[in-house]
Amino acid sequence: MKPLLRYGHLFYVMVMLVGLAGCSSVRLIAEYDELIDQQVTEIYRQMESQLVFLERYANAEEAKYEQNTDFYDGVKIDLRSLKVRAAAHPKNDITLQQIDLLVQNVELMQQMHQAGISQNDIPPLRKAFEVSTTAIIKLELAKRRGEKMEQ
Amino acid sequence: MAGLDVSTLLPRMIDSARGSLKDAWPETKEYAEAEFQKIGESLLYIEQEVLAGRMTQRKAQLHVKMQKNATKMVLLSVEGLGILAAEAAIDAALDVVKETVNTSLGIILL
Repeated sequence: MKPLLRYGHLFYVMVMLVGLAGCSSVRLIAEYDELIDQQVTEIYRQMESQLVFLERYANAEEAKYEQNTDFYDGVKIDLRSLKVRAAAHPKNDITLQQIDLLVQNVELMQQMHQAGISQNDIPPLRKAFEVSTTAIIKLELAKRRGEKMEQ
Repeated sequence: MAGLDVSTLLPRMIDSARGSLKDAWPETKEYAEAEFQKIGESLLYIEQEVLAGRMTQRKAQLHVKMQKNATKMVLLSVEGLGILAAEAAIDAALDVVKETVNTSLGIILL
């Protein structure tokens, strides 16, 4: 390779680096969305309230699935609205996949409830929703990229 | 059902996450380990309930699917944290380019 060509390559690399450095910063993943953060926290609160209710009234009439269909409908509507919001951000595939998995977990709990929920179902359900919602919030907060990290 | 050993399950979950993360692992280790611990405890609880005859196989399957989904969500977060770490590394490198160019030119060009 001739030296001139090598310098030519070096020139293009320098132009590219300078061009990139001129950009404010590189974005490989979506920006932080406060609404996603707040709504996932609210969904966790709804799930936990339902689990506390089921834990207390596991064998009572009011805990039967037929009496609780509004709860599942409401949570699924909230999650699908959240997905629309998340989809509006570019490079937000990870959060979208996480919301899909959370919807699946609500549907699995719904199937369990249809079969009859017992008090011994509550601890693993609680942990699953705690871990799932924490996962979404953890990533969302990290998207702040060091800004306003105090919680 | 063979006995579930959380003490061997956890290191395997952690190893699989570490293997796919490499550079981002130190930043995400604490979070991933804490969450896998919770999932491991839930799996152990489900197994105990089934063995004691207090939980049906059908219900246990639904519970295990939920724990599996929760595990995927943790791994997705860890992947996202890794991407953010890479992004920060690129930004830091570009800051060096910016500083070097500005210093060498003696003006704030970038």
